Amino acid sequence: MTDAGSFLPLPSATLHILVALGPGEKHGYAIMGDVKELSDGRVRMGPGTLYGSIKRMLADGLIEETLARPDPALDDQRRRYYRLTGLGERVCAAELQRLYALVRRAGSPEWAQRLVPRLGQA
Amino acid sequence: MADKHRSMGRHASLYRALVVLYPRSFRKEYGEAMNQLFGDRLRELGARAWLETVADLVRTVPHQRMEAVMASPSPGTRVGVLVAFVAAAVAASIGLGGGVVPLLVVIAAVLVIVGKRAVISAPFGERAPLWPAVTQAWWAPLGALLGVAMIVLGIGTIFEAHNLGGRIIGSGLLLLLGCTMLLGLMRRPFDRVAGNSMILVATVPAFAFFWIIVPAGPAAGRLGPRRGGGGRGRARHLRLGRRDAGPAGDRRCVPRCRS
Repeated sequence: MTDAGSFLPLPSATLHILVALGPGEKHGYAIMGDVKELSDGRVRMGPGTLYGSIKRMLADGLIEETLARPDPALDDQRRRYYRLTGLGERVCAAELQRLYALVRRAGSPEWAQRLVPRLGQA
Repeated sequence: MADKHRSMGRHASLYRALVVLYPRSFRKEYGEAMNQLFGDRLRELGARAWLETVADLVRTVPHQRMEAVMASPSPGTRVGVLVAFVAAAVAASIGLGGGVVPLLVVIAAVLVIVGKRAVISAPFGERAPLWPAVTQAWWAPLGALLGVAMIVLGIGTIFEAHNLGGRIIGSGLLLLLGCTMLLGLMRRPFDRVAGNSMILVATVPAFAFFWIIVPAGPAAGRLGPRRGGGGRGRARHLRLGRRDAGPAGDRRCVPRCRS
């Protein structure tokens, strides 16, 4: 079994895509929209960045393409859908845990709480 | 409404044309999905979709191209690309009289392309002792000799250059190439691709230096762009006409100089 820790730390685009795919399978445009929403508009991916990341993540086994297609009346049949693999879920969880631990440690010192008051509540 | 559709069609066609900049394998796999995604963005944002798309193209096209080169099927192909880059740099620097700048730019590009594994990390990796490194192949002693010659010449010419730039570029480059050659020979038994890459990066400019620049003399060997062009032929002509040539040399030179 591949060690999830060997993928850490994840590039920002990869982490955002993994988190966007957390709830279930999505196509490229939906992933792009979710990433924008998750990051309050700070992370914007163009088609090249998105599919470049998807290519690497497919090669690493973090995500997979699904063959299931929604009702043709609801969506374009040509769209390609992706979902997390077991490894992708583990890697995403490990990275979120790492970031959470970092936020907790960074939030402890007084200077950090003074700079970012919300850090202390994490 | 029809105008809007026509305009969107033009934008989409332009993007489809730009997708050609990506490597063929990437385009084949994701080109259609990218076109569709751009179409979606176009419907959502209109022409403003280009703002982030242009930045995305500028950032990701070179990246994908680089990945495509690195994913070449064999180490031989990778080394071939390396040789082509260095040979092109040497041709630009010496043959076309472009000076040393293109050579340095292309060597830097090669270092980036070959990347951490092949060159930058190679000197720090495992290395064979000197004797096995020198006797590993029939050509290895020649390579070692070339490397030592470059180092000796590099040290010997440090104080000959008239300015600091000349010392750094001329002597420094010779020292760097000599060390690269020796380290490549020592690295090769453990990592063939890394070792071969280092040896080739050092060999091509070294041969160019010893076979072209040194025999042509100081006028042609001067580092930096040549004024007035002409390359080797011009350097030989100047030597014959002004300094070394006897009466025959003068006869050959005079009509050309007058014309």
